[in-house]
Amino acid sequence: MTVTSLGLDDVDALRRGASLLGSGGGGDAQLSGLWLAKELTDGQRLRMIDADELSDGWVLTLCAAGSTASVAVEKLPAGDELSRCVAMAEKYLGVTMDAIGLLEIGGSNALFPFIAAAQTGKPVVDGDLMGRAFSRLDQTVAAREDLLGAWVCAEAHGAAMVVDGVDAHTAERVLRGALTGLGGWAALAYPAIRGSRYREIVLPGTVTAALELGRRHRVGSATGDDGAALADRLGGVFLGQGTVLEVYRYTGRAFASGSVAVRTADGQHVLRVEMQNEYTMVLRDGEVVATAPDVVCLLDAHTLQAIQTSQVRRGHEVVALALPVPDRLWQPDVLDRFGPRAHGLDADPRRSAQRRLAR
Amino acid sequence: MKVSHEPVSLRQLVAHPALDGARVVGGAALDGVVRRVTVRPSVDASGLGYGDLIVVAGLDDATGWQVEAGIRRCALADVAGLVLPAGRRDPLATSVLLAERLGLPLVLLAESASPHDVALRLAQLVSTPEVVRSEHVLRFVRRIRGQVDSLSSVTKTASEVLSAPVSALSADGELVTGGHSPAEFRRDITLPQVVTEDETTYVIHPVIAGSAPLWIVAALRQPAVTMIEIAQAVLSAAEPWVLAWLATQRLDAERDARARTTLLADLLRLREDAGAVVRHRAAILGWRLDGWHIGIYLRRLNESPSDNLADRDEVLRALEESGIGGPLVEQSDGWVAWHTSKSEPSPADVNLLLGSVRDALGRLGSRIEIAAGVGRAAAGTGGLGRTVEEAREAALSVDPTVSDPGQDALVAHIDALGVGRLVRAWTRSRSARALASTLLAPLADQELLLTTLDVYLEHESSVVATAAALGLHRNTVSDRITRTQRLLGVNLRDPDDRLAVELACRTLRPKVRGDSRGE
Repeated sequence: MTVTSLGLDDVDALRRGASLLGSGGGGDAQLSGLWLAKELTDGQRLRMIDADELSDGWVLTLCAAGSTASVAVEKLPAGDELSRCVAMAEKYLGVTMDAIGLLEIGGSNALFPFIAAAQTGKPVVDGDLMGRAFSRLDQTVAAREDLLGAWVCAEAHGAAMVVDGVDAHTAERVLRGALTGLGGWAALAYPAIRGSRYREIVLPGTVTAALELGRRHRVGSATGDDGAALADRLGGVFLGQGTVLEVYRYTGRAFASGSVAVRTADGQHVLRVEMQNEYTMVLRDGEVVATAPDVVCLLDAHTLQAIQTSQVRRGHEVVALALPVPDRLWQPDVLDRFGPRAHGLDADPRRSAQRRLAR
Repeated sequence: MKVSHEPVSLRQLVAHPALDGARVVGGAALDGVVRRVTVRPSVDASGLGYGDLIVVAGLDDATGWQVEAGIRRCALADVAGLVLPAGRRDPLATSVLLAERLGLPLVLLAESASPHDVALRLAQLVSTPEVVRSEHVLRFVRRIRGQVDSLSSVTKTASEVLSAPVSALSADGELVTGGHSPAEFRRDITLPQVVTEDETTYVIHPVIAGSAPLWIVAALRQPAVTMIEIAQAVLSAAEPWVLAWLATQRLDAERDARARTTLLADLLRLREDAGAVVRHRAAILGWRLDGWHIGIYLRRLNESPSDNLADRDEVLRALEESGIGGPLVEQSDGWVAWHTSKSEPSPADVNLLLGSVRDALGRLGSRIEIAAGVGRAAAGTGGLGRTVEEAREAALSVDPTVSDPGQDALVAHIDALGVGRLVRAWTRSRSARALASTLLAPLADQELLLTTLDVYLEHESSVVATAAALGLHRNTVSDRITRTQRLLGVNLRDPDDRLAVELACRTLRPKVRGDSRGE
């Protein structure tokens, strides 16, 4: 059994990698990063196992569920939501969970499973179900049948909730409604999946890749890379660098959608970045140059930190990058869940970045 | 699709009223030619290219990314321009910048505008201008019906139909209604004209009524040739309505003039006997009959035909500007005016009035040439009659052919007339001419006899002196005089007969001898 061990010194790389793979959404990894760091200050090391090490045991996929991504910043967690969520799932299903799985490797949700692992002592699987961050619970590589079962929710004041026998669509509707009555934010466990099945569907190695991405980002920031150099270092595609002229946020839609207008620093080109919770598409001079499921990042041109869709403002000097995602997301059977049309954009998907980083 | 012979530029289309309130952003290549207008549900250039104007009808606004992607495709296809719905928000900054960089004009419609309607109207203008022209003329005719109560109602209707200012100018180019007129145009040729000054093109159409034309002018901003033709058609359609209005005005003026002329004639005839009815009519016209009047007679010197009614306003203005108020009454050969004051005017007042009359004549200039006579001050209704008669006599005494054509010589005061001028004045009167033509009618074709008679009377009925003056034998003269007496049925030894014949001869003297005798 290949076991990687993760400690306090890996948190920064994980946070940086998760922030980039958030594609502007997925929630700010800063808070969950601090939380994880706190859990690991005593020198504890986490076990991470390869997906192909999984056998007949159970994997519980964890994430945080919020009616909006930013609620966690305002509603401080009690600290034991995640471990109670695991305990509740074990109690309801009458089994012991053998490993913790990641729903998504992008955004703050990438870090919560590690907190649960730190609190329960269970190992984390090196992989996830999204390959980056997405907004909807059903935007995973798992089949509908895999996510048909008991959804468990635990919240800071001690409330827990089980929604059994529904698929991701229904669970999302029920939970979003319920969460408004429970303070807006809670830990969420997906229906537990058998290890043998989980290793078939999971995107393997995405945690390792995110850690590598984070480390390279740290080096690039320290080196003072410009946008193109950083894109190259991260194995992505440089789309442009310039000043945000205007941010147009559409109102009256289910998700926070809008457009960011950027004029490149040389004044020769314009970039238009469409967003819906995440950055989902980039047009350069009217031509579509990148779309979901590739990751689109807007970074602050000075700090090289990822800018969330909710934070981008007029006057920001930004670097636009596209980062590759696992090939699986581009396969026709699942592409519809991740492509532009899944984000309200009537455009064909356009792949700009191939995965070049070694595992 | 049929293609117009006259190419229309996008700039001209943007100036079209159908695009009122629209804004042009992005590329500035407005001089591109538009040969076809196409409606598309989205920003889609497929199958289109040079000369195509795309009107997008299926979007709420132009903020979407598809618009930006479409701008790129349209620019690559080299279309003439893109008309987009504006909605509540403008396109994203990048869309505008991209259009600018690629040189693609974006026209943002006003929020209230219907893209289909705009497309239809622009397409008609580009492809079937003759339909648009007829449509405009029809619309004008429908709207104008029963609305010709003023000149401005005609210009206003034309203005509404053309969605452009329409003004009316007087013969000398001054604005009568409206507020737009060209600085220069050929007023000497009464033909339709098109004058362009800066961004405005003036379509000018003359309405010919009487001696002086009225001009109707449409001011179009950067019009397509088709728009100019439309304006010409609408102004032509407006011409009869302007004429109708002019005729109505003329009728009213004629009626008013007749009222004034007959009232004055009644006053002159009845003098102190003018009864309540006449006084009432005077009151209606605002004439003061009490007080002291000084009559002024303005006799036209121009060759007839002259239009006293049409020139009335100009004369009235000249008099007012010279400080002479009061009525102005049309006469067959001019006008009568008078000045009224409460107390008897002093000689200085009269001199002042004479000065004012000279001043007024000066203002009238050469188009309306006038000899003026001024009567003595007289009180009451009877006085008015007397002073007007005196003014007429004085005016008749002015002989423009002899004197310096200075204005002073064209104004005569009755007091300044000698007996000779009085006689001459009388001989110029209508009654004198009536007497002469009646009395001397038998000699109408006997020029020899008439001349002999005239010379004979001038030489104090001396046959010898007459024979010497004419270079004839005295028997010939005697014989002619005898024949003349027989023909006329008069006896020249009778003082009454003699006086009548002499006056008649003097009246006709310019005809008789063709001379002009100075004073």
